[in-house]
Amino acid sequence: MIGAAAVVDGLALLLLAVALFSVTMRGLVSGVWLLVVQSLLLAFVAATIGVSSGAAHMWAAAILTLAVRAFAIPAVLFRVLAAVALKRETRPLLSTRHALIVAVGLALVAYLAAGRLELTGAFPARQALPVSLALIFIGLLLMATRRKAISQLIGLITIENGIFLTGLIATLGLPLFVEIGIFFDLLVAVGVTAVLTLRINEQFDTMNTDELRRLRG
Amino acid sequence: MSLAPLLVAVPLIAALVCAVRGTRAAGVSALAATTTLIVGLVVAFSSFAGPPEHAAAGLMYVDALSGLIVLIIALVAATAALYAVAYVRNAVAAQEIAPTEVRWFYVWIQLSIAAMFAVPLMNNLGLMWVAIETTTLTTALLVAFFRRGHSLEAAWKYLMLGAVGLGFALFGLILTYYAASHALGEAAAALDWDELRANAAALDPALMRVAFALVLIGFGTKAGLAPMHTWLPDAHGEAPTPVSVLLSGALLNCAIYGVLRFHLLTAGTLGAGFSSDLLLGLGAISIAVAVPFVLVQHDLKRLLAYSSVEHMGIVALAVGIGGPLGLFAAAFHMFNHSLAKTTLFVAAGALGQRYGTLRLTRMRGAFEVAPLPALGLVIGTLAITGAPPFAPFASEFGIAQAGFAGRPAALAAAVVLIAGSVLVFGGMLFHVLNVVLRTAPRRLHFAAFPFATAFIGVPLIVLLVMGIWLPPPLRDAFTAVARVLQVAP
Repeated sequence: MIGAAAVVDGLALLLLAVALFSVTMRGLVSGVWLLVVQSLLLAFVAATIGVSSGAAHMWAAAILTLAVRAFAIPAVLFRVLAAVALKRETRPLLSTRHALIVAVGLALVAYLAAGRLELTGAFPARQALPVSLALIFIGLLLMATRRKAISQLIGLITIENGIFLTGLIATLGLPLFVEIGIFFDLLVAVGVTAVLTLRINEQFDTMNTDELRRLRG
Repeated sequence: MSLAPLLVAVPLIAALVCAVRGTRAAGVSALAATTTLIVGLVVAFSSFAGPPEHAAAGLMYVDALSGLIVLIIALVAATAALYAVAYVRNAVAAQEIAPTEVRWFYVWIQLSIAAMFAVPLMNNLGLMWVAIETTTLTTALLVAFFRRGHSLEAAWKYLMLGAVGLGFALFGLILTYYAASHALGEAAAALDWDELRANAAALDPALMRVAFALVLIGFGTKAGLAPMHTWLPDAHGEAPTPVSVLLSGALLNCAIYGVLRFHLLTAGTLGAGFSSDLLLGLGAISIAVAVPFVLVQHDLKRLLAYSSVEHMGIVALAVGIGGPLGLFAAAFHMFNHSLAKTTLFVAAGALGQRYGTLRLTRMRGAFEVAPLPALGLVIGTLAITGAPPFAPFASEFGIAQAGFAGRPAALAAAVVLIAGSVLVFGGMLFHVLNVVLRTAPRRLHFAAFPFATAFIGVPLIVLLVMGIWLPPPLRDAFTAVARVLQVAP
């Protein structure tokens, strides 16, 4: 049991590192690859918990994570990227260096906040909960500071990953049928966003959500 | 046996048929909406009369609160789907929608209706969350249906803010599940509403506090409560009008429903104080935020959208005030708002297609251009802004009365309600009178609006009658809802 907790802690810290790394990246393709890495790490977390707790539905969660988060969603995102001309986040509101500083600050806040929440989780991994909060915060940061539609979507999925990790640690996941519903929604959400991204691209010849600032008042 | 599963099944099947038989899509959609209207009335009124019922092998749970939402969705969805027939035909004629796209409009409308009906019927709070998230996804594509720059912008904002908001709600849900599985054991607590409500007292208070705050932010975003409302005027304003009708009249209530379920749960754990005060506060903020945007508005549908922000605030505030009168008035007001706002959007949509714009400064002389929608706009505005003798006046009066009899915070909220209502009344009436009077522009578009009398006359007459004399079945209905919403202090 202790061994498994240590493994999960290690995976969680890797997740945090990947998320921080994605704050520094401006290439959209590498951004999506980092999402793939995040998803693989999450699947490992689920599988590790599955092995140590013997909870069968954790295996289902791990397989769903692989299929949906590590495969289907990135596949959709890569297709969108192939269809549009822009490959880089051009002018983020915060420079990547400043964004990294803010992200590290947010991670610290996440550790403080997780300490106060006092969740004695179903799984005794101490790093996982703060990391999951940090993922949520970093995802919000990405959504707030990036201008490209795909970058914002990457932020959104990072948030979702954080929430999913919380669920894994705190309660060994939600009831399976709810979990399936959530995965289904996530997949549809990415599909719908992809369609919108392509239409925005058609309409404005850019994926810049900056163009999307005309509705006021 | 409850008919509730039909409410989800019929629109789903209709969506499928619309996708396959595109030429018949409008008729299929109208037929499905009429069917769900009838079934919805049956389900709703049997829920008001009897004890809570399970349906679909325990998957669904129908009590009076679900019944009220079902009733609202059924009425609004029927109006939206029937009105869509004329609206889409005009939009195709004006080359706003390609003829080949028409079927997909109805497919998405029906899928949205199915998802909305699922929200109040799901027993499992996790599946309720899934249903609410699904409504965002299906309606986002509808908001962007015209593929204009503005509607794409609105849909993007809606999708992103909605998704982040629902992420917060999901986090709150996980905390609730955590609290439940600790208190009740893994098996007993599969997030089923009836189980949770019965055992609410055993849940960890500190966790439920955080969970409720997260859920309130999350579903509150979807319900258009300020300060998370920023997507709402864009989406409701830019969407094709039948979609605006669905969003404002039905979908907001679904989100409020989610908030109310968690309010009941949290009150069961912590006592009524905590969640009631938060609802009271957010409600008052929503009213206050809506006022200036109503006053300086430049677009007819955005005007109506900000009025929706105000009214969702009023509903939240009324539940926060609580007590038998406040809760009765809250239920009554939800119903009134949906009816009035539906009529207003239909009238606005009809006028918008005649003028070819929704900019208030370019819409003049509506009484000459289209007398019936213009009349509907004026009377609807009087009704929604709480002018007597219409029903929203009665419900708002009840809310204010409950507030003045309540605790100091409730009293303050009632003052905000009255001040906000007076200002919004002045602002909306000013804009609307400018639209209906003055000289009409020379260039107008042709847009047919068959059955205008029914679309505009019927709901307004109902609102008028209910303001003077509330029929006993409806009185019993709102009383039953108030009983469900009642929490121990």
